[in-house]
Amino acid sequence: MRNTRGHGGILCTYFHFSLSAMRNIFDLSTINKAIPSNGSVELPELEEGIELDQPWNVVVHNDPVNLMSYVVKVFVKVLEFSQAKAEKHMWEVHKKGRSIVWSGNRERGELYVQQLHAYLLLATLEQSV
Amino acid sequence: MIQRLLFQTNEDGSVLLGGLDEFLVSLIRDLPQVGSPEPDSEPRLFPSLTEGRQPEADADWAEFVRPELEAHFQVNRDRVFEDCSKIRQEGQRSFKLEISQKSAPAWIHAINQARLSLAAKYHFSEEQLEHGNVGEGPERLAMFQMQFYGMLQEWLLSVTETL
Repeated sequence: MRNTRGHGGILCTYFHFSLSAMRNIFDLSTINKAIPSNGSVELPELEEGIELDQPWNVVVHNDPVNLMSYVVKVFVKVLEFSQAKAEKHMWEVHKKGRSIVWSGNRERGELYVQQLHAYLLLATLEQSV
Repeated sequence: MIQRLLFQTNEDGSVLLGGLDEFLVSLIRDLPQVGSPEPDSEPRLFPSLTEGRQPEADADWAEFVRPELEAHFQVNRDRVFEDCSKIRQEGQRSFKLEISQKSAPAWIHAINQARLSLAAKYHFSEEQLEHGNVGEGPERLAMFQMQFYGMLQEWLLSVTETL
């Protein structure tokens, strides 16, 4: 597991592997001693305060100025929603004050927020809890 | 005298807004200026990435993303400004404006900038925006302006396929 810092948050990249695949690539003679017979490896505990990489949410907030028809068109254009899905999220924004319109990795989330800002929608990036 | 507005979609995809009087023309010509960023409207036109939860990321956003957005918004306002020079008189006190299919998205965006800027500048509440009930003076004109722009935008959205 590799941890890299980004924008104040923690971006964790997980490398999934099989032990046999690793043996084909590396000389694991030293590591083998530390690997129990059941093939599992105990990973070191994370430092206190380090978060695992929870997905990031793109949240659109209510705005009494933007027209509903406009918001729907923006969702269709930027997020490639179907008309029905775009309308569902538009109503959620209108009634609940916010709607999570996308979840995933941070970089792509930032790209979506930037596009939504270009269309003057109130959008933010939040990490899932 | 009641003047009727004409909303027409042409075969080439352009749209024609006719029956405009001098006052409505002045509001249309004001669009690019009204939508220009001002201290009151800047926080709304250029929102942060995380609403202050991650100050470092918000600072980066302001430094790197905002200039791109400013340029993008300016392009839309410039297009509207250019189109406004094509407003033609069609009668004694009537004017018409033709918006090409290519220009329509820029108009939609510029109208949005103007409406958001007006709402921010006059601190209109959600209730005021919903019912249009404001006092006399500049607020009333701004509210009318917002509603007129909103009507234009709604019409353009209805006849425009993509943003």
